[in-house]
Amino acid sequence: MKITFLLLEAFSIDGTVRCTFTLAEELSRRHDVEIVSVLRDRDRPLLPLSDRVRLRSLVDLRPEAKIAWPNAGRAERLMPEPSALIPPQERSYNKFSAWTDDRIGRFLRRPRTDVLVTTRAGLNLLAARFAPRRVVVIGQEHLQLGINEPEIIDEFKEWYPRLDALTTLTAADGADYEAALPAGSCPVHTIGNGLPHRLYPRSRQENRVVVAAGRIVWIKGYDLLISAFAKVVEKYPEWKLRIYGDGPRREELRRKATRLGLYNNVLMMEPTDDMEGEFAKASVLAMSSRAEPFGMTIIEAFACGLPVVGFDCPRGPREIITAGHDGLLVPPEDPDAFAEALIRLIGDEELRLRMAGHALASAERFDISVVAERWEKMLTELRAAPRRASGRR
Amino acid sequence: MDAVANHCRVGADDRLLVRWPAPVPDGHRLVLRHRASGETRTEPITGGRHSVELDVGDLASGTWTLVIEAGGLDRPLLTDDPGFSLDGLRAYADRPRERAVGVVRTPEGRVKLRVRKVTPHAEVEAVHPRDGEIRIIGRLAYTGPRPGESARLVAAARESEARLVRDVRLGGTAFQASLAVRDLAAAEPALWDLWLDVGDVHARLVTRLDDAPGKRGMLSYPRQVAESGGREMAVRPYYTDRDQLAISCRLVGAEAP
Repeated sequence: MKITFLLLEAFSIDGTVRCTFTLAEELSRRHDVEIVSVLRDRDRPLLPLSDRVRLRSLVDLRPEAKIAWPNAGRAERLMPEPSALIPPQERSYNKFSAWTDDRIGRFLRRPRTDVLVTTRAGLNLLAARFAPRRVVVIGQEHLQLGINEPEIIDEFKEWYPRLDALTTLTAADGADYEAALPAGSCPVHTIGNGLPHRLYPRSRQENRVVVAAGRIVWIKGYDLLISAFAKVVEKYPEWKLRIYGDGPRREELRRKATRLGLYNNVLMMEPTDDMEGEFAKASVLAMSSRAEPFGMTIIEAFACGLPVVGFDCPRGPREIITAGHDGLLVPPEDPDAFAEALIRLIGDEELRLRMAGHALASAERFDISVVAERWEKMLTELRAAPRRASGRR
Repeated sequence: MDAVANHCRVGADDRLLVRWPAPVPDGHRLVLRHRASGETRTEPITGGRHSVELDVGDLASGTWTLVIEAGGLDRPLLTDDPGFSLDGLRAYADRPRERAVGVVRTPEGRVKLRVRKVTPHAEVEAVHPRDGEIRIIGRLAYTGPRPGESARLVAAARESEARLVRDVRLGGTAFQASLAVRDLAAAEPALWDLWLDVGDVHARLVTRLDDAPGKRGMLSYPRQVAESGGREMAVRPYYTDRDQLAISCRLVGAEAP
């Protein structure tokens, strides 16, 4: 079958882009797969994409981009105008315009595909409104329902029933969307993100290093992690914490580590292209997020043989980590409990090695071939007659 | 998929050991190829076709790529081994040597050997700026133990002739040195570079064996304030952009951001 993914910005680095590329590449082994990016701001995507997957864009933002006659004037006129179709509460509302409305609308009315997968709220809404009935339309929600403004949730209630299916990353999110949508709405499927095929380096559990990785922002809870690590160091002064990433709170965290006397134990590392390589040089992953929609980092760390200590926060970690088996979960935002869990794993090498082995096995559940099979099963079922009356024309 | 080596490391004895979890097919050989000159070194896979071990201490400087050759075809050597441990890097630097050989694993799992000339340095492992002193703990790298030789920490002001010299405790390769904040504060404001002098070895204080280059942006040390001659000086250790440990002494209010 022909499967088309619609992304807002396929040319930039972003978790959604990365996961969509991974899934598209795997599906392209057996299907004709295309990615359509609403926006394009550079010649090549920043993330690698297989030649088997075609990539095109609807609106070219490159400075030298030429818009063919007769659209040039229209584009110039509509580009600065705000979008009339995307709700202003959409988190990327500012990236849309009257011109993206025009181009997305035109694309959605005649998408030459069997299956269309849209990857964020604004695009899901437009696909539900405009895509023809003959195309199977799947809306993907990467975010929790609860972080949305009430106005956009009303839009979900109105339009999402017209999708052929909605997918969420966690079962908890699936239940929320199911509860929010009216009776007779589209089915909600939970399919997590997949781990791409590659040769993952494996930790030998030999370095006294705890690792954390992600954008340095409040939601990731690195402030809590550093507080917890101060307690770890009292007991195990030889252990180091390495936090990889960039973001607005990096300086603040470095100062916090200094204030707590952790300058010999905590390093705020630069982001790296080879995070798996760095995972493999550590012995434990710390997942200190206050909330985590999924937790791709946990799965990547599993694949490198790291047990994970995490806050039992909403939503992803508790559905990925099996507490006591491949990691430890502690009450959210409780640095003392986090420190105790780290101390337990650091102090008990046998436990750590056992959990590291389990982590490798857990990673296999998220292998992209397993995830792609679930997509194919869902798509095959949805395409089989009789189709549910979605309300689309 | 090609066989993936589960061990690929250079030991402190400069022996490269590559090991596979299952025997590799007969006739496979490990080839090291020098990127700059094209020179190669070939070694049959032995140990019941499970492993190969060879001396790499005399390889020419630069990068060597490792491939598996069979029937005239080369395939990259693949491994899931990170290639070294932090303790291993320290043990390697504990021996006297002029050349260091290390495994570099690429993100794709390929293997390179990096061979480079080294000179002795004083590896800083911990710095404790508190209680009116700056205590520095570390070990001499690439010289081996220096029994019977006296050791001194030398702080040299970057833009003057000022020097501070302190005796250092040396045990094996491990050293502990300390500088009093008030002694630094008594001199003119300056940036102080640090050296460990042991016999004829003049070793810069630097942190290189922790696999985390660029420490300047990764950590910061607290300042200590001392009064001297009616003025207040802020004294703070820091890393230069080449990971050398230095100490900044500035009048309070005139410190670098």
